[in-house]
Amino acid sequence: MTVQVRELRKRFGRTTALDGLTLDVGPGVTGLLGPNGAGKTTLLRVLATVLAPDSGSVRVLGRDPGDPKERTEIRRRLGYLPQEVGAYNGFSVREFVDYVAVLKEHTDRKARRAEVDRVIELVDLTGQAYTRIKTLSGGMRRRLGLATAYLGDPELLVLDEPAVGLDPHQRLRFREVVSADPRRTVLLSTHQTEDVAALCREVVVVNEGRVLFRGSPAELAASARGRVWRNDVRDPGADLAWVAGDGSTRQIGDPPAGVELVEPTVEDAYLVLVGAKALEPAAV
Amino acid sequence: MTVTPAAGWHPDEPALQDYVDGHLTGLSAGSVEAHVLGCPRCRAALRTAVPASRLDRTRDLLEDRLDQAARPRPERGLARLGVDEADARALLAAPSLRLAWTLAVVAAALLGLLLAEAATRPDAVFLLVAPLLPLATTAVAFAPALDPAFAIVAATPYRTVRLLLARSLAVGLTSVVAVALAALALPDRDVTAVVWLLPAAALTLLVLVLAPQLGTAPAAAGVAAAWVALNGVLERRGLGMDWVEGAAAQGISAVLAAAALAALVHQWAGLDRGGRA
Repeated sequence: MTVQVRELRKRFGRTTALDGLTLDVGPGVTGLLGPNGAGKTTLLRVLATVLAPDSGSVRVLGRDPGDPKERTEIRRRLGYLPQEVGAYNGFSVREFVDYVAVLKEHTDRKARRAEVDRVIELVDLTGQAYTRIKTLSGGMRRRLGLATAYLGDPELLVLDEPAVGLDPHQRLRFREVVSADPRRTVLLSTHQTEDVAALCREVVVVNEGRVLFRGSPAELAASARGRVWRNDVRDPGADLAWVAGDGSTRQIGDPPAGVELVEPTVEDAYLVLVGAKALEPAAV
Repeated sequence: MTVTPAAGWHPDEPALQDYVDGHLTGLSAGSVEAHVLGCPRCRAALRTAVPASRLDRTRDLLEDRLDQAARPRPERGLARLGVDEADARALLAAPSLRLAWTLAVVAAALLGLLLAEAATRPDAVFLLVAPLLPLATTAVAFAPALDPAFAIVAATPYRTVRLLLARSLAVGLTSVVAVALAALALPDRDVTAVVWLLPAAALTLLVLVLAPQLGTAPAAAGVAAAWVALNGVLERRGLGMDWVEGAAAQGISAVLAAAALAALVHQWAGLDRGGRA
């Protein structure tokens, strides 16, 4: 396993971000699904070695991020895309990627130039290589961050909402790039259930700092069988209901007898796990 | 420059090879070169005549020169002083550093103006304000929140703490120079112009020690407020600011600075992650 997390806890003041989270992640693409505030970003920051947990054990690439030497070893083999890609506005795309490459110990100038060009091409920013960062769109900044994460072809990629702001074409290209090497471990957080269904070998649903589900996207979808149905009107047993494009009402919850059950999607199953919970009044 | 080749004339293969090998001189080299510039066919022929390794070497040389020229002047200056490329780049890249430097210069200029024109007790004002300047600018340089790319930089093998401390040192020293220039506006150039240095070092190092626990801004504000409050109390007791010049104040400052430095070194490993902005 590339990532092994046991009983991870992290609090920020009175807010509990991680509440005894336990998780193993192996090679392939794993998607982290969860509502805002579920603890996804905190977990990814811990795995990217930029945040220390309060308690629990973490092993990344077989090493302990708590040990300074081992942490540096992890960082040599890790690519991280933070939730907010801040870059220096006065730099061009190429200058910024080159700057991160210098910090990632690409000391040989010729090899660094080739590597910088490679990752810029990978995220389709070659045409903007000499463009100032301040003029880039949100999606382009995201791709710039992704380019820096890919420097040095890392064994582990930790990507916090990598697909935000990408147009449909860029999204497809992103899927192609991320899934290209099945030996690489990619852990990405997202709100897009269709990305998870299309891309991920495994999906992990997180809420309130704990893992609610871990399995394949098909297993996640199957977990909601018997909980999704269609009817002409909203039924009292429905936790969530909306009128679909065909005029019928798609409903999630406890179906009444005799209604037409439908095959659930990944999104339906996610809503069964998290969405209905989010509508419950907060526990006092 | 475009040269239209004479109709029908092309240098033969041996002539092109001689040109590539550098065996042509004077007029013959000039005329082959002028022809090649305007003739796609001969340029194509030359392309295969020049060994790929030589083209690679030339391109590398050219790109190296362009890289060197593209590096900002301060970075080239540091490289000339023997500073490692990664250190120089990391040190100078963040806009927070420029913000801190600007703050140092502007604040020192205002302090100088105040001392020269407005203050009724210039020595007391100087001793109260001077130690706060390196403290404030260092806090700006040290705060990860003011470096927009910090989240990306922090996950690289480059030591974050080394980066933050290097930036703090660069800004702290600049502030000291700026305050020393402001001290020129003091009416008497006496011991006042130097006695602020040890308290400044103690207060600044204290902020760096407290920053990971409290956050940089609260730590800086807290230490600055404590300094002002201490001087307020001593002022009421009729000590003015002269106490700073005393051996006790200097000794306590030196001990405090040394203790804070030791604590900072002790925190070194922990500062590498989890430090709050």
